[in-house]
Amino acid sequence: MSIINTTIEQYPQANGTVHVVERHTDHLGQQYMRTWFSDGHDIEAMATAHAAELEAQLAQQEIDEVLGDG
Amino acid sequence: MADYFVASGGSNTSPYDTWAKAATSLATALAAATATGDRVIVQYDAVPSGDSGAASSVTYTFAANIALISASNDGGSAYTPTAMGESYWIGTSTSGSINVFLAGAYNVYMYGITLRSGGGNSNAVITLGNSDGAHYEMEDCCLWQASTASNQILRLSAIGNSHNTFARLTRPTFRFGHTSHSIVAACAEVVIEGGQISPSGSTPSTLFTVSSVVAHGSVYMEGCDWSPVTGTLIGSHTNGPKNYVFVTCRLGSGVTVLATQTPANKSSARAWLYDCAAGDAHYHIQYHDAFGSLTVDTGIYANDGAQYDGTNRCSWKVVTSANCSYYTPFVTPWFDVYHSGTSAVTPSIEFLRDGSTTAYQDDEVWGEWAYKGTSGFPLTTMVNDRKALAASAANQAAGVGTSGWTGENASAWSGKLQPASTITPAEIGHIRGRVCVGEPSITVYIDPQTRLT
Repeated sequence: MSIINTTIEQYPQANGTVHVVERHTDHLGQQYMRTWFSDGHDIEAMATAHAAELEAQLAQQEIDEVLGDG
Repeated sequence: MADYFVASGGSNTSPYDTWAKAATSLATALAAATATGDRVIVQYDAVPSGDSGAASSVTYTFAANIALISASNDGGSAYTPTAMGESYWIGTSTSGSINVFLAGAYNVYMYGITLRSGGGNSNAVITLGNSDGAHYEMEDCCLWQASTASNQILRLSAIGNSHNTFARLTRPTFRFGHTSHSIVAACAEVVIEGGQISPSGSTPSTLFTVSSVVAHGSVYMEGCDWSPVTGTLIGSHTNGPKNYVFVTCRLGSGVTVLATQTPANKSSARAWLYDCAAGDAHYHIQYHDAFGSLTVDTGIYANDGAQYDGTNRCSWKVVTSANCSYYTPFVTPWFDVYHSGTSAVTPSIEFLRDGSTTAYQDDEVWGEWAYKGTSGFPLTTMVNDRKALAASAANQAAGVGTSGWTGENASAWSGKLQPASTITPAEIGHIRGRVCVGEPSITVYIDPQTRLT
Protein backbone atom coordinates (compact mmCIF):
# COMPACT_ATOMS: atom_id res chain seq x y z
CA MET A 1 0.00 0.00 0.00
CA SER A 2 1.53 3.30 -1.00
CA ILE A 3 0.54 6.93 -1.15
CA ILE A 4 0.88 7.98 -4.76
CA ASN A 5 -0.43 11.53 -4.58
CA THR A 6 -0.59 14.30 -2.00
CA THR A 7 -2.27 17.65 -2.39
CA ILE A 8 -1.99 20.48 0.11
CA GLU A 9 -4.48 23.34 0.43
CA GLN A 10 -3.45 26.34 2.53
CA TYR A 11 -5.88 28.93 3.88
CA PRO A 12 -4.26 31.96 5.60
CA GLN A 13 -6.09 33.21 8.68
CA ALA A 14 -6.32 36.69 10.18
CA ASN A 15 -4.08 35.79 13.13
CA GLY A 16 -1.25 34.55 10.93
CA THR A 17 -1.99 30.86 11.25
CA VAL A 18 -2.72 28.78 8.18
CA HIS A 19 -5.49 26.23 7.93
CA VAL A 20 -4.04 23.24 6.10
CA VAL A 21 -5.96 20.53 4.29
CA GLU A 22 -3.93 17.55 3.15
CA ARG A 23 -5.41 14.98 0.80
CA HIS A 24 -3.40 11.80 0.36
CA THR A 25 -4.38 9.21 -2.24
CA ASP A 26 -3.20 5.60 -2.22
CA HIS A 27 -2.61 3.37 -5.22
CA LEU A 28 -6.19 2.08 -5.00
CA GLY A 29 -7.59 5.57 -5.28
CA GLN A 30 -8.65 5.76 -1.64
CA GLN A 31 -8.28 9.28 -0.28
CA TYR A 32 -7.25 10.23 3.25
CA MET A 33 -7.88 13.79 4.43
CA ARG A 34 -6.20 15.59 7.30
CA THR A 35 -6.88 19.15 8.45
CA TRP A 36 -4.86 21.17 10.94
CA PHE A 37 -3.77 24.70 11.78
CA SER A 38 -0.15 25.61 11.09
CA ASP A 39 1.60 28.20 13.18
CA GLY A 40 4.92 28.52 11.43
CA HIS A 41 5.32 24.83 10.63
CA ASP A 42 7.06 23.55 7.52
CA ILE A 43 3.79 22.49 5.92
CA GLU A 44 5.36 20.57 3.04
CA ALA A 45 7.54 18.60 5.44
CA MET A 46 4.60 17.88 7.74
CA ALA A 47 2.52 16.60 4.83
CA THR A 48 5.38 14.42 3.60
CA ALA A 49 5.84 13.01 7.07
CA HIS A 50 2.14 12.29 7.38
CA ALA A 51 2.12 10.51 4.02
CA ALA A 52 4.90 8.27 5.31
CA GLU A 53 2.93 7.60 8.52
CA LEU A 54 -0.13 6.75 6.48
CA GLU A 55 1.84 4.31 4.35
CA ALA A 56 3.11 2.60 7.48
CA GLN A 57 -0.39 2.41 8.97
CA LEU A 58 -1.89 1.06 5.79
CA ALA A 59 0.84 -1.54 5.51
CA GLN A 60 0.18 -2.60 9.09
CA GLN A 61 -3.56 -2.81 8.39
CA GLU A 62 -2.84 -5.10 5.47
CA ILE A 63 -0.72 -7.33 7.67
CA ASP A 64 -3.41 -7.38 10.36
CA GLU A 65 -6.07 -8.27 7.82
CA VAL A 66 -4.00 -11.12 6.42
CA LEU A 67 -3.26 -12.46 9.88
CA GLY A 68 -6.90 -12.06 10.83
CA ASP A 69 -8.01 -14.04 7.82
CA GLY A 70 -5.55 -16.78 8.64
CA MET B 1 -20.81 5.36 57.92
CA ALA B 2 -17.33 4.38 59.06
CA ASP B 3 -13.76 5.34 58.30
CA TYR B 4 -11.15 2.70 57.55
CA PHE B 5 -7.51 3.73 57.57
CA VAL B 6 -4.72 2.23 55.51
CA ALA B 7 -1.04 2.84 56.20
CA SER B 8 2.15 0.86 56.13
CA GLY B 9 2.80 1.81 59.78
CA GLY B 10 -0.58 0.62 61.09
CA SER B 11 -1.10 -2.35 63.39
CA ASN B 12 -3.63 -3.92 61.00
CA THR B 13 -6.18 -4.12 63.81
CA SER B 14 -9.88 -4.28 63.02
CA PRO B 15 -11.90 -2.07 62.73
CA TYR B 16 -8.98 0.03 61.34
CA ASP B 17 -10.61 3.19 62.64
CA THR B 18 -7.46 5.08 63.60
CA TRP B 19 -4.09 5.58 62.01
CA ALA B 20 -2.58 3.45 64.76
CA LYS B 21 -4.88 0.54 63.91
CA ALA B 22 -4.67 1.12 60.18
CA ALA B 23 -4.94 -1.81 57.82
CA THR B 24 -1.73 -2.73 56.08
CA SER B 25 -3.52 -3.76 52.95
CA LEU B 26 -5.86 -1.66 50.82
CA ALA B 27 -7.88 -4.75 49.91
CA THR B 28 -8.54 -5.39 53.61
CA ALA B 29 -9.99 -1.94 54.11
CA LEU B 30 -12.00 -2.06 50.89
CA ALA B 31 -13.51 -5.38 51.97
CA ALA B 32 -14.49 -3.85 55.29
CA ALA B 33 -16.08 -0.78 53.74
CA THR B 34 -19.43 -2.32 52.90
CA ALA B 35 -21.85 0.43 53.87
CA THR B 36 -22.86 3.35 51.74
CA GLY B 37 -20.86 6.40 52.76
CA ASP B 38 -17.95 4.51 54.23
CA ARG B 39 -14.53 6.05 53.70
CA VAL B 40 -11.23 4.33 53.10
CA ILE B 41 -8.38 6.70 53.88
CA VAL B 42 -4.91 5.84 52.62
CA GLN B 43 -1.83 7.57 53.97
CA TYR B 44 -0.51 9.22 50.83
CA ASP B 45 3.17 8.79 51.75
CA ALA B 46 2.88 5.41 53.46
CA VAL B 47 1.07 3.13 51.05
CA PRO B 48 1.60 -0.45 52.28
CA SER B 49 4.38 -2.14 50.38
CA GLY B 50 2.02 -4.82 49.09
CA ASP B 51 -0.04 -2.11 47.44
CA SER B 52 2.76 0.03 46.13
CA GLY B 53 5.02 -2.79 45.04
CA ALA B 54 2.69 -5.37 43.59
CA ALA B 55 4.56 -8.26 41.99
CA SER B 56 1.65 -9.34 39.82
CA SER B 57 -1.55 -7.86 38.45
CA VAL B 58 -3.93 -6.62 41.08
CA THR B 59 -7.64 -5.83 41.20
CA TYR B 60 -9.07 -3.58 43.88
CA THR B 61 -12.78 -4.22 44.25
CA PHE B 62 -15.18 -1.79 45.85
CA ALA B 63 -17.96 -3.38 47.91
CA ALA B 64 -20.27 -0.39 48.33
CA ASN B 65 -20.81 3.25 47.42
CA ILE B 66 -17.75 4.57 49.23
CA ALA B 67 -15.00 7.16 49.09
CA LEU B 68 -11.32 6.32 48.74
CA ILE B 69 -9.22 9.23 49.92
CA SER B 70 -5.49 9.82 49.89
CA ALA B 71 -4.54 11.85 52.95
CA SER B 72 -1.86 12.82 55.40
CA ASN B 73 -1.64 11.08 58.75
CA ASP B 74 -2.53 13.77 61.26
CA GLY B 75 -2.67 11.37 64.20
CA GLY B 76 -5.63 9.66 65.85
CA SER B 77 -8.28 9.61 63.19
CA ALA B 78 -7.45 13.05 61.82
CA TYR B 79 -6.35 13.57 58.26
CA THR B 80 -5.88 16.16 55.56
CA PRO B 81 -6.68 15.13 51.97
CA THR B 82 -3.35 15.03 50.18
CA ALA B 83 -2.74 13.73 46.68
CA MET B 84 -0.12 11.05 46.08
CA GLY B 85 1.06 12.89 43.00
CA GLU B 86 3.84 11.15 41.15
CA SER B 87 5.87 10.42 44.27
CA TYR B 88 3.61 7.72 45.74
CA TRP B 89 1.19 5.25 44.17
CA ILE B 90 -1.01 2.21 44.34
CA GLY B 91 0.22 -0.48 41.98
CA THR B 92 3.88 -1.02 41.49
CA SER B 93 7.20 0.44 40.58
CA THR B 94 8.36 -3.00 39.52
CA SER B 95 9.01 -3.91 35.92
CA GLY B 96 6.80 -6.55 34.44
CA SER B 97 3.37 -7.26 33.07
CA ILE B 98 1.53 -5.91 36.09
CA ASN B 99 -1.97 -4.56 35.52
CA VAL B 100 -3.97 -2.45 37.94
CA PHE B 101 -7.76 -2.72 37.89
CA LEU B 102 -10.47 -0.95 39.85
CA ALA B 103 -13.68 -2.94 39.97
CA GLY B 104 -17.08 -2.93 41.60
CA ALA B 105 -20.39 -1.72 40.21
CA TYR B 106 -20.82 1.08 42.72
CA ASN B 107 -20.75 4.83 42.92
CA VAL B 108 -17.24 5.55 44.13
CA TYR B 109 -15.41 8.80 44.82
CA MET B 110 -11.62 8.92 44.88
CA TYR B 111 -9.34 11.73 45.89
CA GLY B 112 -5.63 12.01 45.22
CA ILE B 113 -5.09 8.39 44.25
CA THR B 114 -2.27 7.49 41.88
CA LEU B 115 -2.49 4.20 40.01
CA ARG B 116 0.77 2.95 38.52
CA SER B 117 1.18 -0.09 36.28
CA GLY B 118 4.22 -2.26 35.80
CA GLY B 119 7.26 -0.71 34.18
CA GLY B 120 9.84 -1.92 31.75
CA ASN B 121 9.28 -3.36 28.32
CA SER B 122 6.24 -5.43 29.31
CA ASN B 123 2.58 -5.18 28.51
CA ALA B 124 0.56 -3.53 31.26
CA VAL B 125 -2.74 -1.76 31.57
CA ILE B 126 -4.61 0.38 34.06
CA THR B 127 -8.37 -0.05 33.97
CA LEU B 128 -10.99 1.96 35.82
CA GLY B 129 -14.52 0.74 36.32
CA ASN B 130 -13.78 -2.83 35.35
CA SER B 131 -17.36 -3.79 36.20
CA ASP B 132 -20.62 -3.30 34.37
CA GLY B 133 -22.46 -0.51 36.19
CA ALA B 134 -19.46 1.23 37.74
CA HIS B 135 -19.62 4.99 38.34
CA TYR B 136 -16.31 6.45 39.50
CA GLU B 137 -15.52 10.08 40.21
CA MET B 138 -11.85 10.87 40.70
CA GLU B 139 -10.42 14.16 41.87
CA ASP B 140 -6.72 15.11 41.68
CA CYS B 141 -5.82 11.55 40.74
CA CYS B 142 -3.02 10.30 38.53
CA LEU B 143 -3.09 7.43 36.08
CA TRP B 144 0.46 6.33 35.41
CA GLN B 145 1.15 3.92 32.58
CA ALA B 146 4.71 3.06 33.53
CA SER B 147 5.36 0.43 30.89
CA THR B 148 7.80 1.47 28.20
CA ALA B 149 6.46 -1.15 25.79
CA SER B 150 4.65 0.22 22.78
CA ASN B 151 0.86 0.53 22.43
CA GLN B 152 -0.05 0.26 26.12
CA ILE B 153 -3.15 2.06 27.38
CA LEU B 154 -4.93 3.78 30.20
CA ARG B 155 -8.43 2.33 30.01
CA LEU B 156 -11.24 4.32 31.56
CA SER B 157 -13.87 1.61 31.66
CA ALA B 158 -14.77 -2.01 31.43
CA ILE B 159 -14.99 -3.48 27.98
CA GLY B 160 -18.01 -5.29 26.67
CA ASN B 161 -20.92 -4.51 24.40
CA SER B 162 -23.45 -4.49 27.23
CA HIS B 163 -21.40 -2.58 29.78
CA ASN B 164 -22.43 0.69 31.37
CA THR B 165 -19.59 2.69 32.91
CA PHE B 166 -19.16 6.31 33.91
CA ALA B 167 -15.96 8.08 34.88
CA ARG B 168 -15.52 11.71 35.87
CA LEU B 169 -11.93 12.79 36.30
CA THR B 170 -11.37 16.21 37.80
CA ARG B 171 -7.85 17.59 37.40
CA PRO B 172 -6.37 14.22 36.44
CA THR B 173 -2.76 13.75 35.47
CA PHE B 174 -2.05 11.19 32.78
CA ARG B 175 1.47 9.86 32.66
CA PHE B 176 2.67 7.71 29.80
CA GLY B 177 5.76 5.58 29.35
CA HIS B 178 5.94 5.64 25.57
CA THR B 179 4.83 7.90 22.73
CA SER B 180 2.58 5.11 21.40
CA HIS B 181 0.58 4.97 24.63
CA SER B 182 -2.94 6.37 24.71
CA ILE B 183 -6.17 6.82 26.63
CA VAL B 184 -8.95 4.39 25.77
CA ALA B 185 -12.40 5.44 26.92
CA ALA B 186 -13.87 2.08 25.83
CA CYS B 187 -17.50 1.67 26.96
CA ALA B 188 -17.64 4.62 29.31
CA GLU B 189 -19.29 7.95 29.44
CA VAL B 190 -16.28 10.02 30.44
CA VAL B 191 -15.92 13.57 31.72
CA ILE B 192 -12.43 15.02 32.06
CA GLU B 193 -12.10 18.45 33.63
CA GLY B 194 -8.77 20.18 33.93
CA GLY B 195 -6.79 17.22 32.65
CA GLN B 196 -3.11 17.35 31.85
CA ILE B 197 -0.27 15.16 30.65
CA SER B 198 2.63 14.70 33.02
CA PRO B 199 5.79 16.32 31.68
CA SER B 200 7.75 13.62 33.48
CA GLY B 201 6.52 10.95 31.08
CA SER B 202 6.19 10.59 27.33
CA THR B 203 3.71 12.47 25.19
CA PRO B 204 1.41 10.27 23.11
CA SER B 205 1.48 10.74 19.37
CA THR B 206 -2.25 9.93 19.42
CA LEU B 207 -4.05 10.75 22.66
CA PHE B 208 -7.33 8.81 22.34
CA THR B 209 -7.56 5.43 20.66
CA VAL B 210 -9.73 2.34 20.79
CA SER B 211 -6.84 -0.12 20.88
CA SER B 212 -8.81 -3.17 19.77
CA VAL B 213 -11.41 -2.88 22.51
CA VAL B 214 -15.11 -2.15 22.16
CA ALA B 215 -15.99 1.54 22.17
CA HIS B 216 -19.19 3.48 22.61
CA GLY B 217 -20.35 6.50 24.60
CA SER B 218 -18.71 9.88 24.71
CA VAL B 219 -15.83 11.82 26.20
CA TYR B 220 -16.54 15.38 27.37
CA MET B 221 -13.51 17.51 28.21
CA GLU B 222 -13.43 20.96 29.71
CA GLY B 223 -10.37 23.04 30.55
CA CYS B 224 -7.87 20.33 29.62
CA ASP B 225 -4.33 21.19 28.61
CA TRP B 226 -3.54 18.91 25.70
CA SER B 227 -0.86 21.26 24.35
CA PRO B 228 1.93 18.65 24.53
CA VAL B 229 0.10 16.55 21.94
CA THR B 230 1.16 17.81 18.52
CA GLY B 231 0.34 14.62 16.63
CA THR B 232 -3.28 13.52 16.72
CA LEU B 233 -5.98 13.88 19.38
CA ILE B 234 -8.32 11.12 18.22
CA GLY B 235 -7.23 8.03 16.34
CA SER B 236 -9.26 5.79 14.08
CA HIS B 237 -12.19 4.15 15.88
CA THR B 238 -12.45 0.77 14.26
CA ASN B 239 -14.14 -0.80 17.28
CA GLY B 240 -17.13 1.41 17.79
CA PRO B 241 -18.50 4.95 17.60
CA LYS B 242 -17.42 7.60 20.07
CA ASN B 243 -18.17 11.30 20.41
CA TYR B 244 -15.47 13.61 21.77
CA VAL B 245 -16.30 17.12 22.95
CA PHE B 246 -13.54 19.57 23.82
CA VAL B 247 -14.51 22.81 25.55
CA THR B 248 -12.03 25.61 26.33
CA CYS B 249 -9.07 23.29 26.03
CA ARG B 250 -5.53 24.22 25.07
CA LEU B 251 -4.37 22.34 21.99
CA GLY B 252 -0.96 21.40 20.70
CA SER B 253 0.52 23.45 17.89
CA GLY B 254 -0.26 21.83 14.56
CA VAL B 255 -2.31 19.03 16.10
CA THR B 256 -4.65 16.96 13.94
CA VAL B 257 -7.97 16.64 15.72
CA LEU B 258 -9.32 13.55 14.01
CA ALA B 259 -7.34 10.88 12.20
CA THR B 260 -8.68 9.24 9.08
CA GLN B 261 -11.50 7.01 10.30
CA THR B 262 -12.19 3.38 9.57
CA PRO B 263 -15.06 2.77 8.92
CA ALA B 264 -15.04 5.91 6.77
CA ASN B 265 -18.43 7.07 7.97
CA LYS B 266 -20.15 8.38 11.10
CA SER B 267 -20.09 4.99 12.80
CA SER B 268 -16.55 5.85 13.88
CA ALA B 269 -15.39 8.86 15.91
CA ARG B 270 -16.67 12.44 15.81
CA ALA B 271 -15.23 15.53 17.46
CA TRP B 272 -16.68 18.86 18.56
CA LEU B 273 -14.34 21.63 19.73
CA TYR B 274 -15.64 24.80 21.33
CA ASP B 275 -13.24 27.69 21.98
CA CYS B 276 -10.16 25.49 21.83
CA ALA B 277 -6.89 26.64 20.29
CA ALA B 278 -3.13 26.33 20.46
CA GLY B 279 -2.66 30.06 20.84
CA ASP B 280 -4.34 33.29 21.86
CA ALA B 281 -7.48 32.81 19.74
CA HIS B 282 -10.89 32.69 21.38
CA TYR B 283 -13.33 32.13 18.57
CA HIS B 284 -12.71 28.66 17.27
CA ILE B 285 -15.41 26.11 16.66
CA GLN B 286 -14.49 22.85 15.03
CA TYR B 287 -16.45 19.80 14.08
CA HIS B 288 -14.90 16.71 12.48
CA ASP B 289 -16.19 13.39 11.28
CA ALA B 290 -15.29 10.94 8.54
CA PHE B 291 -17.25 12.99 6.01
CA GLY B 292 -15.41 16.25 6.57
CA SER B 293 -14.31 19.04 8.83
CA LEU B 294 -15.72 22.39 9.86
CA THR B 295 -13.50 25.19 11.12
CA VAL B 296 -13.86 28.93 11.64
CA ASP B 297 -12.18 30.84 8.84
CA THR B 298 -11.13 34.46 9.36
CA GLY B 299 -9.61 34.84 5.89
CA ILE B 300 -12.84 34.64 3.87
CA TYR B 301 -16.15 35.96 5.16
CA ALA B 302 -19.32 37.79 4.21
CA ASN B 303 -18.98 41.54 4.57
CA ASP B 304 -22.09 41.65 6.74
CA GLY B 305 -21.50 38.19 8.14
CA ALA B 306 -21.07 36.73 11.56
CA GLN B 307 -18.63 38.46 13.91
CA TYR B 308 -16.34 36.59 16.25
CA ASP B 309 -15.19 39.44 18.47
CA GLY B 310 -17.76 42.15 18.00
CA THR B 311 -15.76 43.72 15.16
CA ASN B 312 -14.09 41.18 12.91
CA ARG B 313 -15.94 38.68 10.81
CA CYS B 314 -15.57 35.04 10.01
CA SER B 315 -17.14 32.19 8.12
CA TRP B 316 -17.53 28.51 8.74
CA LYS B 317 -15.41 26.58 6.31
CA VAL B 318 -16.51 23.09 5.42
CA VAL B 319 -13.94 20.79 3.82
CA THR B 320 -15.42 17.46 2.82
CA SER B 321 -13.55 14.20 2.58
CA ALA B 322 -13.92 11.69 -0.24
CA ASN B 323 -16.48 9.77 1.81
CA CYS B 324 -19.61 11.95 1.81
CA SER B 325 -22.36 11.87 -0.78
CA TYR B 326 -25.73 13.36 -1.63
CA TYR B 327 -27.33 10.54 0.33
CA THR B 328 -24.87 10.64 3.23
CA PRO B 329 -23.72 14.26 3.48
CA PHE B 330 -21.45 16.14 5.82
CA VAL B 331 -23.76 18.08 8.15
CA THR B 332 -22.70 21.17 10.06
CA PRO B 333 -23.78 21.88 13.62
CA TRP B 334 -26.93 23.96 13.97
CA PHE B 335 -26.90 27.72 14.31
CA ASP B 336 -29.95 29.54 15.65
CA VAL B 337 -31.68 32.82 15.16
CA TYR B 338 -34.30 33.97 17.63
CA HIS B 339 -37.59 34.88 16.03
CA SER B 340 -40.28 36.60 18.04
CA GLY B 341 -42.96 36.63 15.36
CA THR B 342 -45.36 34.10 13.94
CA SER B 343 -45.81 35.54 10.48
CA ALA B 344 -44.46 33.91 7.34
CA VAL B 345 -40.75 34.41 6.78
CA THR B 346 -38.11 33.13 4.40
CA PRO B 347 -34.90 31.88 6.02
CA SER B 348 -31.70 31.98 3.99
CA ILE B 349 -27.99 31.26 4.42
CA GLU B 350 -25.26 32.91 2.35
CA PHE B 351 -22.38 30.75 1.18
CA LEU B 352 -19.40 30.97 -1.14
CA ARG B 353 -17.50 28.79 -3.54
CA ASP B 354 -13.89 29.93 -3.84
CA GLY B 355 -11.71 29.21 -6.85
CA SER B 356 -14.54 28.68 -9.34
CA THR B 357 -17.43 30.69 -10.73
CA THR B 358 -19.55 27.60 -11.22
CA ALA B 359 -22.59 27.51 -8.99
CA TYR B 360 -22.96 24.75 -6.48
CA GLN B 361 -26.05 22.68 -7.13
CA ASP B 362 -28.74 21.48 -4.79
CA ASP B 363 -27.35 17.96 -4.69
CA GLU B 364 -23.95 19.32 -3.62
CA VAL B 365 -24.79 21.91 -0.99
CA TRP B 366 -28.13 22.57 0.67
CA GLY B 367 -29.62 24.10 3.77
CA GLU B 368 -31.89 22.68 6.42
CA TRP B 369 -34.02 24.66 8.83
CA ALA B 370 -36.06 23.66 11.84
CA TYR B 371 -38.84 25.93 13.11
CA LYS B 372 -41.69 25.52 15.52
CA GLY B 373 -44.49 24.90 13.08
CA THR B 374 -46.95 23.38 15.52
CA SER B 375 -48.90 25.47 17.99
CA GLY B 376 -48.89 24.40 21.63
CA PHE B 377 -45.69 22.34 21.56
CA PRO B 378 -41.97 22.90 21.07
CA LEU B 379 -42.13 20.45 18.18
CA THR B 380 -40.12 21.60 15.18
CA THR B 381 -40.86 21.19 11.51
CA MET B 382 -37.93 20.77 9.15
CA VAL B 383 -37.55 22.14 5.64
CA ASN B 384 -34.66 22.15 3.22
CA ASP B 385 -33.63 23.15 -0.28
CA ARG B 386 -32.06 19.85 -1.20
CA LYS B 387 -32.65 18.35 -4.62
CA ALA B 388 -35.70 16.12 -4.59
CA LEU B 389 -34.82 12.46 -4.85
CA ALA B 390 -36.17 11.98 -8.35
CA ALA B 391 -35.35 15.45 -9.64
CA SER B 392 -32.39 16.68 -11.65
CA ALA B 393 -29.84 18.80 -9.87
CA ALA B 394 -30.28 22.55 -10.22
CA ASN B 395 -28.08 25.51 -9.36
CA GLN B 396 -28.58 26.97 -5.95
CA ALA B 397 -29.77 30.58 -5.94
CA ALA B 398 -27.30 33.40 -6.40
CA GLY B 399 -26.28 35.16 -3.21
CA VAL B 400 -25.19 38.66 -2.41
CA GLY B 401 -22.44 38.41 -5.01
CA THR B 402 -18.69 38.19 -4.59
CA SER B 403 -18.57 41.91 -3.83
CA GLY B 404 -20.39 41.03 -0.64
CA TRP B 405 -17.53 38.79 0.49
CA THR B 406 -13.96 39.48 1.54
CA GLY B 407 -10.83 37.42 1.03
CA GLU B 408 -11.96 35.18 -1.82
CA ASN B 409 -10.03 34.61 -5.05
CA ALA B 410 -10.87 36.49 -8.23
CA SER B 411 -12.67 33.37 -9.35
CA ALA B 412 -15.51 32.69 -6.93
CA TRP B 413 -19.27 32.25 -6.75
CA SER B 414 -21.68 33.56 -4.15
CA GLY B 415 -24.77 31.53 -3.39
CA LYS B 416 -27.79 31.49 -1.14
CA LEU B 417 -29.59 28.60 0.46
CA GLN B 418 -33.29 29.03 1.12
CA PRO B 419 -36.37 26.80 1.10
CA ALA B 420 -38.72 26.98 -1.88
CA SER B 421 -41.55 28.34 0.25
CA THR B 422 -41.89 30.62 3.20
CA ILE B 423 -42.16 29.12 6.65
CA THR B 424 -44.70 30.16 9.26
CA PRO B 425 -43.64 29.59 12.85
CA ALA B 426 -46.56 28.81 15.13
CA GLU B 427 -44.55 29.73 18.21
CA ILE B 428 -41.88 32.31 18.94
CA GLY B 429 -38.41 30.92 19.51
CA HIS B 430 -35.35 29.77 17.71
CA ILE B 431 -35.26 29.03 14.02
CA ARG B 432 -32.39 26.65 13.50
CA GLY B 433 -30.28 26.37 10.38
CA ARG B 434 -27.49 24.12 9.18
CA VAL B 435 -25.76 23.27 5.93
CA CYS B 436 -25.31 19.88 4.33
CA VAL B 437 -22.56 19.17 1.84
CA GLY B 438 -22.97 16.08 -0.29
CA GLU B 439 -20.17 16.64 -2.76
CA PRO B 440 -16.92 14.89 -1.83
CA SER B 441 -13.60 16.73 -1.56
CA ILE B 442 -14.84 20.30 -1.86
CA THR B 443 -14.59 23.46 0.23
CA VAL B 444 -17.58 25.64 1.10
CA TYR B 445 -17.61 28.90 3.05
CA ILE B 446 -20.77 29.51 5.02
CA ASP B 447 -21.94 32.64 6.75
CA PRO B 448 -23.16 30.92 9.92
CA GLN B 449 -26.35 32.82 10.44
CA THR B 450 -29.86 32.36 9.19
CA ARG B 451 -31.22 35.56 7.69
CA LEU B 452 -34.95 36.13 7.84
CA THR B 453 -36.84 38.16 5.25
